[in-house]
Amino acid sequence: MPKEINLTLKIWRQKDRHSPGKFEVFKIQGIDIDKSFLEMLDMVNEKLTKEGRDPIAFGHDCSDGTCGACGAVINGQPHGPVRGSSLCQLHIRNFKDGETLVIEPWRAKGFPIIKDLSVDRSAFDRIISQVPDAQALPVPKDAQCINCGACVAACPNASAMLFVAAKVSHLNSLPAPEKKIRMLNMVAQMDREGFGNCSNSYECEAACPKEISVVHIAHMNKYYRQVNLS
Amino acid sequence: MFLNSSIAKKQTVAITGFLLILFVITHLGGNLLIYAGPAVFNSYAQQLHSLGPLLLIARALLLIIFLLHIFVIHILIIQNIKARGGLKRYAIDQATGKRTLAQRMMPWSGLYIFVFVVFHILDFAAAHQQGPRSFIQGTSYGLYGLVYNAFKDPVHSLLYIVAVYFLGMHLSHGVQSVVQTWGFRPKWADLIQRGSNYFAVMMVIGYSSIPIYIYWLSH
Repeated sequence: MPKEINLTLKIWRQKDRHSPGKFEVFKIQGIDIDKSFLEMLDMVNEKLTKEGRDPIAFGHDCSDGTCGACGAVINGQPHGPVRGSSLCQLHIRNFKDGETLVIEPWRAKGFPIIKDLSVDRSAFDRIISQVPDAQALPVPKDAQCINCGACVAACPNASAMLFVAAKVSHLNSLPAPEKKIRMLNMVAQMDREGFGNCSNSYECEAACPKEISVVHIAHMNKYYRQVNLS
Repeated sequence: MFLNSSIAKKQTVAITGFLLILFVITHLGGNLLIYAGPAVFNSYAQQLHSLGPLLLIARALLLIIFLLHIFVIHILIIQNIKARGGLKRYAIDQATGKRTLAQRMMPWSGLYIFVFVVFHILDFAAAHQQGPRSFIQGTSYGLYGLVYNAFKDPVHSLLYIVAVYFLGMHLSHGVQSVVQTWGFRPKWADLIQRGSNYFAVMMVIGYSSIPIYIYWLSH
Protein backbone atom coordinates (compact mmCIF):
# COMPACT_ATOMS: atom_id res chain seq x y z
CA MET A 1 0.00 0.00 0.00
CA PRO A 2 1.39 3.43 -0.91
CA LYS A 3 2.23 5.78 1.97
CA GLU A 4 0.49 8.59 0.17
CA ILE A 5 -2.76 8.61 -1.77
CA ASN A 6 -4.78 10.97 -3.94
CA LEU A 7 -8.41 11.75 -3.19
CA THR A 8 -11.18 13.78 -4.80
CA LEU A 9 -13.25 15.63 -2.23
CA LYS A 10 -16.73 16.93 -3.01
CA ILE A 11 -17.38 19.24 -0.08
CA TRP A 12 -20.63 21.03 0.75
CA ARG A 13 -20.14 24.80 0.80
CA GLN A 14 -22.81 27.05 2.26
CA LYS A 15 -22.27 30.66 3.28
CA ASP A 16 -24.83 30.76 6.08
CA ARG A 17 -28.08 29.25 7.29
CA HIS A 18 -30.27 30.93 4.70
CA SER A 19 -28.05 30.84 1.60
CA PRO A 20 -28.36 27.96 -0.83
CA GLY A 21 -25.35 25.63 -0.75
CA LYS A 22 -23.50 23.61 -3.37
CA PHE A 23 -20.69 21.10 -3.69
CA GLU A 24 -17.15 22.26 -4.42
CA VAL A 25 -14.63 19.77 -5.79
CA PHE A 26 -11.05 19.56 -4.49
CA LYS A 27 -8.43 17.22 -5.93
CA ILE A 28 -5.93 16.44 -3.18
CA GLN A 29 -2.60 14.89 -4.15
CA GLY A 30 -0.20 12.99 -1.93
CA ILE A 31 -2.01 12.72 1.39
CA ASP A 32 -0.09 10.77 4.03
CA ILE A 33 -2.26 7.76 4.93
CA ASP A 34 -1.38 8.19 8.61
CA LYS A 35 -2.98 11.62 8.66
CA SER A 36 -6.41 12.05 10.20
CA PHE A 37 -9.41 13.12 8.19
CA LEU A 38 -9.50 16.50 9.93
CA GLU A 39 -5.80 17.06 9.19
CA MET A 40 -6.64 16.54 5.54
CA LEU A 41 -9.36 19.21 5.78
CA ASP A 42 -6.70 21.48 7.39
CA MET A 43 -4.51 20.88 4.32
CA VAL A 44 -7.38 22.00 2.09
CA ASN A 45 -7.95 25.05 4.26
CA GLU A 46 -4.27 26.06 4.20
CA LYS A 47 -4.39 25.99 0.43
CA LEU A 48 -7.65 27.97 0.35
CA THR A 49 -6.27 30.58 2.77
CA LYS A 50 -3.10 31.00 0.68
CA GLU A 51 -5.27 31.61 -2.35
CA GLY A 52 -7.20 34.23 -0.40
CA ARG A 53 -10.37 32.12 -0.38
CA ASP A 54 -12.75 31.30 2.41
CA PRO A 55 -11.65 28.19 4.36
CA ILE A 56 -14.12 25.33 4.99
CA ALA A 57 -15.89 25.60 8.34
CA PHE A 58 -16.05 22.36 10.34
CA GLY A 59 -16.34 21.42 14.02
CA HIS A 60 -13.31 20.04 15.85
CA ASP A 61 -11.79 20.11 19.31
CA CYS A 62 -10.40 17.17 21.29
CA SER A 63 -9.19 14.91 18.43
CA ASP A 64 -9.75 11.74 20.49
CA GLY A 65 -13.48 11.16 20.18
CA THR A 66 -14.57 12.43 23.57
CA CYS A 67 -15.88 15.96 22.98
CA GLY A 68 -18.43 15.40 20.20
CA ALA A 69 -17.57 18.64 18.39
CA CYS A 70 -16.63 17.08 15.07
CA GLY A 71 -18.81 15.32 12.56
CA ALA A 72 -19.60 15.22 8.88
CA VAL A 73 -21.33 12.77 6.59
CA ILE A 74 -18.94 10.94 4.24
CA ASN A 75 -20.63 9.15 1.33
CA GLY A 76 -23.91 9.04 3.25
CA GLN A 77 -22.39 7.79 6.51
CA PRO A 78 -22.04 10.05 9.59
CA HIS A 79 -18.43 10.02 10.89
CA GLY A 80 -17.45 8.00 7.81
CA PRO A 81 -17.09 4.29 7.13
CA VAL A 82 -15.47 3.13 10.40
CA ARG A 83 -17.87 2.01 13.12
CA GLY A 84 -17.56 3.13 16.73
CA SER A 85 -15.36 6.12 16.06
CA SER A 86 -15.86 9.82 15.44
CA LEU A 87 -14.61 11.87 12.50
CA CYS A 88 -11.46 13.04 14.32
CA GLN A 89 -10.46 9.39 14.86
CA LEU A 90 -10.85 8.55 11.18
CA HIS A 91 -7.61 8.06 9.27
CA ILE A 92 -6.86 8.44 5.58
CA ARG A 93 -5.70 4.79 5.47
CA ASN A 94 -9.40 3.83 5.51
CA PHE A 95 -9.79 5.15 1.97
CA LYS A 96 -8.54 3.88 -1.37
CA ASP A 97 -6.22 5.76 -3.69
CA GLY A 98 -8.24 7.70 -6.25
CA GLU A 99 -11.49 7.48 -4.28
CA THR A 100 -14.10 10.29 -4.39
CA LEU A 101 -15.52 11.34 -1.02
CA VAL A 102 -18.76 13.29 -0.83
CA ILE A 103 -18.61 15.30 2.39
CA GLU A 104 -21.76 16.90 3.78
CA PRO A 105 -22.96 18.39 7.05
CA TRP A 106 -25.50 16.64 9.33
CA ARG A 107 -28.81 17.25 7.57
CA ALA A 108 -31.81 17.73 9.84
CA LYS A 109 -34.37 20.44 10.48
CA GLY A 110 -33.31 20.35 14.14
CA PHE A 111 -29.67 21.13 13.19
CA PRO A 112 -29.61 24.27 11.01
CA ILE A 113 -26.41 24.73 9.02
CA ILE A 114 -24.20 27.53 10.38
CA LYS A 115 -21.66 27.36 7.58
CA ASP A 116 -20.31 24.60 5.29
CA LEU A 117 -19.96 21.46 7.44
CA SER A 118 -20.73 23.17 10.72
CA VAL A 119 -24.24 22.80 12.17
CA ASP A 120 -26.06 24.37 15.09
CA ARG A 121 -26.68 21.65 17.68
CA SER A 122 -28.13 23.91 20.36
CA ALA A 123 -31.36 21.87 20.13
CA PHE A 124 -29.48 19.17 22.08
CA ASP A 125 -28.52 21.74 24.73
CA ARG A 126 -32.15 22.74 25.10
CA ILE A 127 -33.14 19.07 25.53
CA ILE A 128 -30.43 18.47 28.15
CA SER A 129 -31.36 21.69 29.95
CA GLN A 130 -34.60 19.94 30.94
CA VAL A 131 -32.35 18.23 33.48
CA PRO A 132 -30.62 21.16 35.22
CA ASP A 133 -28.28 19.04 37.34
CA ALA A 134 -27.35 16.62 34.52
CA GLN A 135 -23.62 17.16 35.02
CA ALA A 136 -23.86 15.83 38.57
CA LEU A 137 -25.51 12.55 37.58
CA PRO A 138 -23.42 9.41 37.05
CA VAL A 139 -23.25 8.38 33.38
CA PRO A 140 -24.07 4.73 32.70
CA LYS A 141 -21.14 2.85 31.13
CA ASP A 142 -23.08 1.80 28.05
CA ALA A 143 -24.64 5.21 27.33
CA GLN A 144 -21.69 7.60 27.24
CA CYS A 145 -23.22 9.97 24.72
CA ILE A 146 -20.94 12.80 23.58
CA ASN A 147 -23.79 14.86 22.02
CA CYS A 148 -22.27 14.71 18.53
CA GLY A 149 -25.60 14.28 16.73
CA ALA A 150 -24.54 11.43 14.42
CA CYS A 151 -27.68 9.50 15.45
CA VAL A 152 -29.87 12.28 14.04
CA ALA A 153 -27.71 12.55 10.92
CA ALA A 154 -27.95 8.78 10.31
CA CYS A 155 -31.65 8.37 11.07
CA PRO A 156 -33.75 8.36 7.88
CA ASN A 157 -36.26 10.48 9.81
CA ALA A 158 -33.71 12.71 11.57
CA SER A 159 -35.03 11.43 14.89
CA ALA A 160 -33.19 12.22 18.13
CA MET A 161 -34.53 9.19 20.00
CA LEU A 162 -31.14 7.55 20.63
CA PHE A 163 -29.73 10.79 22.04
CA VAL A 164 -32.73 11.38 24.31
CA ALA A 165 -32.87 7.70 25.31
CA ALA A 166 -29.20 7.78 26.33
CA LYS A 167 -29.95 10.85 28.44
CA VAL A 168 -33.00 9.18 29.98
CA SER A 169 -30.87 6.18 30.97
CA HIS A 170 -28.62 8.79 32.55
CA LEU A 171 -31.50 9.81 34.86
CA ASN A 172 -31.71 6.42 36.53
CA SER A 173 -30.26 7.54 39.83
CA LEU A 174 -32.96 10.19 40.32
CA PRO A 175 -36.03 9.52 42.52
CA ALA A 176 -38.97 8.17 40.49
CA PRO A 177 -41.31 11.22 40.45
CA GLU A 178 -38.53 13.57 39.39
CA LYS A 179 -37.19 11.14 36.81
CA LYS A 180 -40.68 10.87 35.33
CA ILE A 181 -41.11 14.64 34.88
CA ARG A 182 -37.61 15.07 33.45
CA MET A 183 -38.17 12.27 30.94
CA LEU A 184 -41.50 13.76 29.80
CA ASN A 185 -39.92 17.22 29.50
CA MET A 186 -37.01 15.93 27.44
CA VAL A 187 -39.33 14.07 25.05
CA ALA A 188 -41.55 17.16 24.72
CA GLN A 189 -38.51 19.35 23.99
CA MET A 190 -37.26 16.81 21.43
CA ASP A 191 -40.63 17.08 19.64
CA ARG A 192 -40.62 20.89 19.78
CA GLU A 193 -37.17 21.00 18.16
CA GLY A 194 -38.58 19.41 15.01
CA PHE A 195 -36.77 16.06 15.11
CA GLY A 196 -38.50 13.16 13.35
CA ASN A 197 -40.06 9.99 14.72
CA CYS A 198 -38.22 6.73 15.27
CA SER A 199 -39.11 4.02 12.76
CA ASN A 200 -36.74 1.39 14.11
CA SER A 201 -34.26 1.29 11.24
CA TYR A 202 -31.47 1.22 13.87
CA GLU A 203 -29.15 3.36 11.72
CA CYS A 204 -28.49 5.51 14.82
CA GLU A 205 -26.70 2.82 16.81
CA ALA A 206 -24.56 1.97 13.77
CA ALA A 207 -23.48 5.60 13.40
CA CYS A 208 -22.93 6.29 17.10
CA PRO A 209 -19.19 6.73 17.83
CA LYS A 210 -19.86 5.44 21.35
CA GLU A 211 -21.90 2.48 20.03
CA ILE A 212 -24.87 3.24 22.24
CA SER A 213 -27.48 0.51 21.73
CA VAL A 214 -31.10 0.99 20.64
CA VAL A 215 -31.97 -1.04 23.75
CA HIS A 216 -31.96 2.38 25.46
CA ILE A 217 -34.72 3.49 23.09
CA ALA A 218 -36.78 0.43 24.03
CA HIS A 219 -36.26 1.24 27.72
CA MET A 220 -37.41 4.80 27.17
CA ASN A 221 -40.44 3.59 25.16
CA LYS A 222 -41.36 1.27 28.02
CA TYR A 223 -40.92 3.95 30.63
CA TYR A 224 -42.94 6.43 28.56
CA ARG A 225 -45.75 3.91 28.13
CA GLN A 226 -45.82 3.13 31.86
CA VAL A 227 -45.94 6.84 32.73
CA ASN A 228 -48.59 7.54 30.09
CA LEU A 229 -50.86 4.69 31.15
CA SER A 230 -50.55 5.28 34.88
CA MET B 1 -53.41 14.99 23.58
CA PHE B 2 -51.51 11.92 22.36
CA LEU B 3 -51.06 13.39 18.89
CA ASN B 4 -48.59 15.93 20.27
CA SER B 5 -46.12 13.30 21.42
CA SER B 6 -43.91 11.42 19.01
CA ILE B 7 -43.65 8.36 21.27
CA ALA B 8 -47.39 8.23 21.98
CA LYS B 9 -48.10 8.36 18.25
CA LYS B 10 -45.58 5.59 17.59
CA GLN B 11 -47.15 3.49 20.33
CA THR B 12 -50.59 4.02 18.80
CA VAL B 13 -49.25 2.70 15.49
CA ALA B 14 -47.69 -0.23 17.39
CA ILE B 15 -50.83 -1.23 19.29
CA THR B 16 -53.11 -0.90 16.24
CA GLY B 17 -50.47 -2.79 14.27
CA PHE B 18 -50.50 -5.55 16.88
CA LEU B 19 -54.30 -5.84 16.71
CA LEU B 20 -54.10 -6.00 12.92
CA ILE B 21 -51.50 -8.78 13.21
CA LEU B 22 -54.01 -10.72 15.35
CA PHE B 23 -56.59 -10.19 12.61
CA VAL B 24 -54.15 -11.38 9.93
CA ILE B 25 -53.64 -14.63 11.90
CA THR B 26 -57.38 -15.22 12.52
CA HIS B 27 -58.28 -14.40 8.93
CA LEU B 28 -55.73 -16.91 7.68
CA GLY B 29 -57.17 -19.52 10.05
CA GLY B 30 -60.62 -19.03 8.49
CA ASN B 31 -59.31 -18.95 4.94
CA LEU B 32 -57.40 -22.22 5.31
CA LEU B 33 -60.77 -23.98 5.80
CA ILE B 34 -61.00 -23.81 2.00
CA TYR B 35 -58.87 -26.98 2.02
CA ALA B 36 -61.75 -28.76 3.79
CA GLY B 37 -64.00 -28.21 0.77
CA PRO B 38 -66.99 -25.99 -0.11
CA ALA B 39 -69.36 -27.30 2.60
CA VAL B 40 -67.04 -26.57 5.56
CA PHE B 41 -65.79 -23.29 4.10
CA ASN B 42 -69.28 -21.94 3.40
CA SER B 43 -70.69 -23.06 6.74
CA TYR B 44 -67.83 -21.20 8.49
CA ALA B 45 -68.78 -18.06 6.51
CA GLN B 46 -72.45 -18.55 7.39
CA GLN B 47 -71.64 -19.01 11.06
CA LEU B 48 -69.77 -15.71 11.00
CA HIS B 49 -72.74 -14.01 9.36
CA SER B 50 -75.19 -15.53 11.85
CA LEU B 51 -73.43 -13.50 14.56
CA GLY B 52 -75.38 -10.53 13.18
CA PRO B 53 -74.79 -7.37 15.23
CA LEU B 54 -71.70 -8.89 16.86
CA LEU B 55 -70.08 -9.27 13.45
CA LEU B 56 -71.07 -5.72 12.62
CA ILE B 57 -69.38 -4.43 15.78
CA ALA B 58 -66.28 -6.52 15.10
CA ARG B 59 -66.09 -5.19 11.55
CA ALA B 60 -66.58 -1.59 12.70
CA LEU B 61 -63.83 -1.98 15.32
CA LEU B 62 -61.51 -3.51 12.76
CA LEU B 63 -62.18 -0.63 10.38
CA ILE B 64 -61.49 1.94 13.12
CA ILE B 65 -58.22 0.19 14.06
CA PHE B 66 -57.17 0.00 10.41
CA LEU B 67 -57.96 3.67 9.73
CA LEU B 68 -56.33 4.84 12.98
CA HIS B 69 -53.15 2.92 12.05
CA ILE B 70 -53.07 4.67 8.66
CA PHE B 71 -54.10 8.10 9.99
CA VAL B 72 -51.42 8.27 12.68
CA ILE B 73 -48.67 6.85 10.46
CA HIS B 74 -49.45 9.44 7.81
CA ILE B 75 -48.92 12.25 10.37
CA LEU B 76 -45.61 10.60 11.35
CA ILE B 77 -44.45 10.30 7.74
CA ILE B 78 -45.16 13.99 7.01
CA GLN B 79 -43.28 14.99 10.17
CA ASN B 80 -40.36 12.73 9.22
CA ILE B 81 -40.03 14.23 5.75
CA LYS B 82 -40.01 17.73 7.27
CA ALA B 83 -37.49 16.68 9.94
CA ARG B 84 -35.02 15.30 7.43
CA GLY B 85 -35.42 18.44 5.31
CA GLY B 86 -37.30 17.15 2.29
CA LEU B 87 -37.34 13.99 0.21
CA LYS B 88 -33.75 14.29 -1.00
CA ARG B 89 -31.16 14.32 1.76
CA TYR B 90 -27.58 13.15 1.25
CA ALA B 91 -25.95 13.05 -2.18
CA ILE B 92 -25.07 9.40 -1.63
CA ASP B 93 -27.78 7.21 -0.14
CA GLN B 94 -25.73 4.63 1.70
CA ALA B 95 -26.97 2.95 4.89
CA THR B 96 -24.70 3.15 7.92
CA GLY B 97 -26.16 0.08 9.60
CA LYS B 98 -28.31 -2.83 8.53
CA ARG B 99 -31.32 -0.87 7.38
CA THR B 100 -33.56 -3.41 5.65
CA LEU B 101 -35.49 -3.12 2.41
CA ALA B 102 -38.65 -3.98 4.36
CA GLN B 103 -38.05 -0.97 6.62
CA ARG B 104 -37.47 1.37 3.68
CA MET B 105 -40.57 0.05 1.93
CA MET B 106 -42.97 0.36 4.90
CA PRO B 107 -45.01 3.29 3.51
CA TRP B 108 -45.17 1.69 0.06
CA SER B 109 -46.02 -1.82 1.21
CA GLY B 110 -48.61 -0.21 3.48
CA LEU B 111 -50.11 1.75 0.61
CA TYR B 112 -50.31 -1.38 -1.57
CA ILE B 113 -51.98 -3.29 1.28
CA PHE B 114 -54.51 -0.45 1.73
CA VAL B 115 -55.47 -0.40 -1.95
CA PHE B 116 -55.57 -4.21 -1.95
CA VAL B 117 -57.85 -4.36 1.11
CA VAL B 118 -60.40 -2.07 -0.57
CA PHE B 119 -60.29 -4.26 -3.69
CA HIS B 120 -60.42 -7.47 -1.63
CA ILE B 121 -63.55 -6.36 0.28
CA LEU B 122 -65.33 -5.48 -2.98
CA ASP B 123 -64.04 -8.72 -4.53
CA PHE B 124 -65.37 -11.15 -1.89
CA ALA B 125 -67.10 -9.76 1.20
CA ALA B 126 -69.24 -7.18 -0.62
CA ALA B 127 -69.90 -9.36 -3.68
CA HIS B 128 -73.25 -11.09 -4.25
CA GLN B 129 -72.63 -14.50 -2.70
CA GLN B 130 -75.14 -16.34 -4.93
CA GLY B 131 -74.44 -14.20 -8.00
CA PRO B 132 -73.05 -15.33 -11.37
CA ARG B 133 -69.47 -15.27 -10.03
CA SER B 134 -70.33 -17.98 -7.49
CA PHE B 135 -71.28 -20.59 -10.12
CA ILE B 136 -69.10 -23.60 -10.80
CA GLN B 137 -70.40 -25.74 -13.69
CA GLY B 138 -73.94 -24.37 -13.41
CA THR B 139 -74.34 -24.59 -9.63
CA SER B 140 -73.85 -21.75 -7.15
CA TYR B 141 -71.17 -22.56 -4.56
CA GLY B 142 -71.62 -19.34 -2.58
CA LEU B 143 -68.45 -17.76 -1.19
CA TYR B 144 -66.44 -20.85 -2.13
CA GLY B 145 -67.55 -20.33 -5.73
CA LEU B 146 -66.49 -16.68 -5.64
CA VAL B 147 -63.04 -17.61 -4.40
CA TYR B 148 -62.76 -20.50 -6.87
CA ASN B 149 -63.65 -18.37 -9.88
CA ALA B 150 -61.41 -15.51 -8.78
CA PHE B 151 -58.32 -17.70 -8.43
CA LYS B 152 -59.02 -19.67 -11.61
CA ASP B 153 -57.79 -16.50 -13.31
CA PRO B 154 -53.98 -16.35 -13.04
CA VAL B 155 -53.90 -12.53 -13.20
CA HIS B 156 -56.37 -12.30 -10.34
CA SER B 157 -54.32 -14.83 -8.36
CA LEU B 158 -51.10 -12.99 -9.03
CA LEU B 159 -52.62 -9.76 -7.71
CA TYR B 160 -53.35 -11.55 -4.44
CA ILE B 161 -49.94 -13.19 -4.23
CA VAL B 162 -48.17 -9.84 -4.76
CA ALA B 163 -50.36 -8.25 -2.07
CA VAL B 164 -49.53 -11.07 0.33
CA TYR B 165 -45.83 -10.65 -0.44
CA PHE B 166 -46.09 -6.95 0.44
CA LEU B 167 -47.96 -7.92 3.60
CA GLY B 168 -45.08 -10.24 4.46
CA MET B 169 -42.57 -7.43 3.98
CA HIS B 170 -44.68 -5.13 6.11
CA LEU B 171 -44.90 -7.78 8.85
CA SER B 172 -41.20 -8.67 8.84
CA HIS B 173 -40.39 -5.13 9.92
CA GLY B 174 -43.68 -4.48 11.70
CA VAL B 175 -43.70 -7.36 14.19
CA GLN B 176 -40.28 -6.60 15.66
CA SER B 177 -41.09 -2.89 15.49
CA VAL B 178 -44.15 -3.41 17.70
CA VAL B 179 -41.93 -5.10 20.27
CA GLN B 180 -39.31 -2.31 20.21
CA THR B 181 -41.80 0.59 20.21
CA TRP B 182 -43.87 -0.94 22.97
CA GLY B 183 -40.65 -1.21 24.92
CA PHE B 184 -40.20 -4.95 25.33
CA ARG B 185 -36.54 -5.42 24.67
CA PRO B 186 -35.32 -8.51 26.40
CA LYS B 187 -31.86 -10.01 26.09
CA TRP B 188 -33.03 -12.19 23.21
CA ALA B 189 -33.87 -9.18 21.03
CA ASP B 190 -32.06 -10.63 18.00
CA LEU B 191 -34.44 -13.56 18.19
CA ILE B 192 -37.35 -11.16 17.79
CA GLN B 193 -36.06 -9.92 14.43
CA ARG B 194 -35.63 -13.50 13.29
CA GLY B 195 -39.02 -14.50 14.71
CA SER B 196 -40.54 -11.52 12.92
CA ASN B 197 -39.10 -12.77 9.63
CA TYR B 198 -40.26 -16.36 10.21
CA PHE B 199 -43.74 -15.17 11.08
CA ALA B 200 -43.88 -13.07 7.90
CA VAL B 201 -42.76 -16.03 5.78
CA MET B 202 -45.39 -18.27 7.40
CA MET B 203 -48.13 -15.75 6.63
CA VAL B 204 -46.94 -15.38 3.02
CA ILE B 205 -46.90 -19.16 2.52
CA GLY B 206 -50.25 -19.62 4.24
CA TYR B 207 -52.09 -16.93 2.33
CA SER B 208 -50.53 -17.46 -1.08
CA SER B 209 -51.07 -21.22 -0.92
CA ILE B 210 -54.80 -20.63 -1.42
CA PRO B 211 -54.75 -19.02 -4.90
CA ILE B 212 -52.09 -21.54 -5.95
CA TYR B 213 -54.19 -24.47 -4.70
CA ILE B 214 -57.37 -23.20 -6.38
CA TYR B 215 -55.52 -22.54 -9.62
CA TRP B 216 -54.15 -26.07 -9.54
CA LEU B 217 -57.61 -27.49 -8.69
CA SER B 218 -59.32 -25.64 -11.53
CA HIS B 219 -56.85 -26.50 -14.31
